Amino acid sequence: MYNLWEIRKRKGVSLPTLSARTGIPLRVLEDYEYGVKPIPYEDLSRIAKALYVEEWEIKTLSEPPPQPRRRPPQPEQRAQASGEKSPPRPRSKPSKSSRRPPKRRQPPPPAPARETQLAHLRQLAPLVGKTIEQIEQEIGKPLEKLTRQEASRILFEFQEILRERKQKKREEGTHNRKRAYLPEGVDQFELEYLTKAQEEGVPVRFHLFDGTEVVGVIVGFSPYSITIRVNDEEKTLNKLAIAWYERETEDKG
Amino acid sequence: MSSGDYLRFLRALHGGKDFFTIEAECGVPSGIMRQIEQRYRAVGDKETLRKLAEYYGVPAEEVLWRHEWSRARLTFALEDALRKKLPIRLYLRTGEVYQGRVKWVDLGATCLDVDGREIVIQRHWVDKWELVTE
Repeated sequence: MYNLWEIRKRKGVSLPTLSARTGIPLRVLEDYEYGVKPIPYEDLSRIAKALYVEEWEIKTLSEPPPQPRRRPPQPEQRAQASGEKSPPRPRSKPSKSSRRPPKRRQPPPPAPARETQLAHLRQLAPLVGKTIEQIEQEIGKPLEKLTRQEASRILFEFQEILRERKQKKREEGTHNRKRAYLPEGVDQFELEYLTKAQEEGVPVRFHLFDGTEVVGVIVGFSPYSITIRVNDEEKTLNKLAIAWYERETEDKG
Repeated sequence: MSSGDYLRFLRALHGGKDFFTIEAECGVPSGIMRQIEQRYRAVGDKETLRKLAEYYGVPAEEVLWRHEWSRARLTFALEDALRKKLPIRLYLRTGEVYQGRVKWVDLGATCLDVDGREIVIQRHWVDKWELVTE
């Protein structure tokens, strides 16, 4: 779970934008971010939707961000935060619309997990070394009875495990090969070779399938072709047609 | 040379057309050529290989006997030479023969140190190979 301000900054959303998206006044959002008051369920839901995150990811009572607040909170809020009773505020005549107390909507029942979430769960379970039965045992109900929020949380946990595992492999050096998609694709070593030759600007001799040879300086390459400059003219060689190549050395001239 | 590498070589000789065009022209299932050329294990049934051989104008047997050889065999030989620090001799379909120590092995190419020359050989041009033990 993260503080609201952390998620908002990570998503690159400003407070006024969030306010516009959610319809929650700016000052109220500031109060939520500074932990002056907890986020009620109704607002939490709106904020989560506006930031494209799950509700459970947002802490209902945020820790204040490191930067001081631009505008101090209202005296009433300060008193609430310190546990004091706020002094009575002079009130203007209530308008027609504010006479009636606003109706509080009941929070909707939790939505069931999406089919795609369940499919994703079934796909990830063996990767983290769990069976569906084990997961069901842990959550205490069948997978189909999961709510959307619960499914999202479990998926998040699984993805964290896989991310950590990948990171560990990368650190151990067992996950550093990147395979190209096609056989004639540029793989790691060939990529390094071609990149070095291109950077150094040395001529490279290409021996083609029909016995012809082309010598030129590499100006670019893709998984399927290599472009060289020959006498101020650019030629693109299809990798399929290249039998072998080597850097041209001075003695071959 | 595996059937995958051989078919890739034939594709190069026939203008390097893309998979989709060839699959459509010779009536083999879509996506099969990519798998035949790409997979390390042998992929493709005899009927598909016969159609491809006919398309390229070579006897079907030329493709079929190579089907017993998976692409992984060349990789194993190259990696074996690399690990044992032994030279390997590669016979190319261009008629050339290169003997040297393996510097690296990639998915589509390998680099040999041939008397101080670093030669990058595209693996679909390697017809035969042998480890030089003496």
